[in-house]
Amino acid sequence: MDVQGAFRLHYPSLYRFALRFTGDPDTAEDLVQEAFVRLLEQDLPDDEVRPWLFVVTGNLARDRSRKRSRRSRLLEEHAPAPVRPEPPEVSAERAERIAAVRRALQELSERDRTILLMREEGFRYSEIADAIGVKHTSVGALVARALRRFSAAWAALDGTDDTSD
Amino acid sequence: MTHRTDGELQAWLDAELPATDASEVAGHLMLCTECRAKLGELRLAGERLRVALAELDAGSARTAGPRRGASRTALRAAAMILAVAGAAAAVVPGSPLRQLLERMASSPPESVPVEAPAVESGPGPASPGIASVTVSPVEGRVAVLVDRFADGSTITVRFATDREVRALLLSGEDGARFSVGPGRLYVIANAGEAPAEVLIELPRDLNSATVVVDGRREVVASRAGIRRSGDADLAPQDEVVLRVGG
Repeated sequence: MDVQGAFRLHYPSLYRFALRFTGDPDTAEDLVQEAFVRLLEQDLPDDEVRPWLFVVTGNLARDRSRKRSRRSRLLEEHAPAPVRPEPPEVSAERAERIAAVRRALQELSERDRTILLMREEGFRYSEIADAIGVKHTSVGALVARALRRFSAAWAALDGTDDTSD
Repeated sequence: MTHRTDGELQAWLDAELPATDASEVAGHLMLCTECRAKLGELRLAGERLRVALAELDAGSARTAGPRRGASRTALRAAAMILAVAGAAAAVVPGSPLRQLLERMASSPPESVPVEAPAVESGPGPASPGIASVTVSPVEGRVAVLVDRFADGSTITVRFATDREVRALLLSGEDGARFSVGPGRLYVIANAGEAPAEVLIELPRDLNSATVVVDGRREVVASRAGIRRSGDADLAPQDEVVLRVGG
């Protein structure tokens, strides 16, 4: 397995996936680092490296999210989700729209998020099915449902009509 | 008429149906306005997601910056990562990623001839009282050595290259931590630790790179050569102290 090549090839898309999944650059970076650390301990055929990295990164994100939510519940029952401040050059409207996208993604279940974000990264249904543990033939329905949920959530948060429902 | 399910329509949109099934769905869509409407909704939802993610990515790129603090992973691994639009490796003795780094380090260096004499610059006008910076060519690479790096100082390397950019902690084992992002590499000195010695290695044939120490641009590299700021005797604009190759 060419680990060095895997870094070059997969880091950008894996980081993008993790950032979209978590909404936080620092967390995304951590998760991707951790996934590559774990990759060093694997001996995978080259064609299995990419799906493996995405599955591991998704699992790490879910684990972290669960740990964080348990901790949050102990600290403060109804703490608002932290929103990363935007720099001043980003207009207020744009910042609101970006925050709406983040919230819409976070409102999806982890499985829905994984499905949509893996699909956006070009994974085939068979690979998504392996990642989330469903039959290949179920993925179309899951994608459609997740898309509708995202579209509705984003439209509600963004203040626009959602005509897809 | 039996309508098609959302799953079938989505799989058809995503070209995931077997050829015979895809033909059947296409045939049905020609006749069924209801399913065409559902297909339109799914297509629109997919477009919305794409637009939303593009917006998110653009926003994230604007807000991405040096990390607010050392993450557990970064501290534990003392960070080695290959970054992005070109790879960057930050290396620390004892890192669990040492295996990979050693493999990388043992790969033969590019045998790119250094056309100009290998001129080593003396310690330059580094950030006042914090670090000294030395730039020197090595085989196929340019080494930027930052000495006496301590107490919360930072090095930021921004680069555009498909080759390795590496940072190594030569001394001061707990003196610094690393972080990477797309096209960038950060080294942050841990406060209260002994001063560290950090080596940044840039490939000679990079497109561009900038090394900033504590907000001061120390080295600017491009295909035209390597420029070191602050050496006023080598005009123009206070910079060229050495050129490596073409």
